[in-house]
Amino acid sequence: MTPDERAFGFVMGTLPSDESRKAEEDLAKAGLFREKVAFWRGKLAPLEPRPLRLVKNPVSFDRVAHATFGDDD
Amino acid sequence: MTTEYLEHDIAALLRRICGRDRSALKQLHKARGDRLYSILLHMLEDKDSAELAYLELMPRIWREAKSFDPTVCSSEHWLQTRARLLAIEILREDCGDQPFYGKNIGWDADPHLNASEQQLRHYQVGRLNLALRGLPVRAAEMIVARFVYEISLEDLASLYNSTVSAVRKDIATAGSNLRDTLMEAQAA
Repeated sequence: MTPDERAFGFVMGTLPSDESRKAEEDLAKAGLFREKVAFWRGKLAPLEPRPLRLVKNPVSFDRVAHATFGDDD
Repeated sequence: MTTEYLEHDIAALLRRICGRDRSALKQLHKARGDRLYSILLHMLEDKDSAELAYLELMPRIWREAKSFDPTVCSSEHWLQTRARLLAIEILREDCGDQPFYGKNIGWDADPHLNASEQQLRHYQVGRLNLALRGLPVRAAEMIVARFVYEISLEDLASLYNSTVSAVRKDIATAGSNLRDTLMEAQAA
């Protein structure tokens, strides 16, 4: 795995847990890996989700009960 | 008076739901219904679809609560992921050849950015959308589902009828292609 692939995997959270822990340690040190992670975080930052606008749920629990239990509980 | 439900309260409700306690589902609906419905509306962008999806989501939570593991994620994360996964499933059914998120990832102007930063962000989003369009639809969807909606590898594997190791490999390959496209665009 190249440093770039490793950094992408780290940012995407796809590294296996033991490799992810090692990557966390490497991130604390200055160096190529930290640069690569910063590169990917910067590139993917525009994808970060839009803030959620909380709205009132119009669905009553009677409807939920009917859908879930098949009755009007 | 509004009751505030904390993480351990919601986790306890999920445990009671596992024990087939109907009143716990009612409490969960009261405690987190607004948030879960808002997520569905946010992703589906249609009130009727969001209502129908909510009526599909709650029975799923009733059935799947046993898969909630507090050592893996918080109850909030688990619930929100159920809502996002369902929304992605619905979007995938209707999207034809397009990715579930549509032709482009949308973005809202960030009020914390100044005019030149907004312009840069607009440019970056355009470049990313172009790069994502260069990927196979499934690969682009996986990147967005993973990064934007924080869908776990296990859930992605289930969504795409695949295995965790295959999904991990698919995302790695997609990342490599995405990087190449972004670098080419930067060099041009």
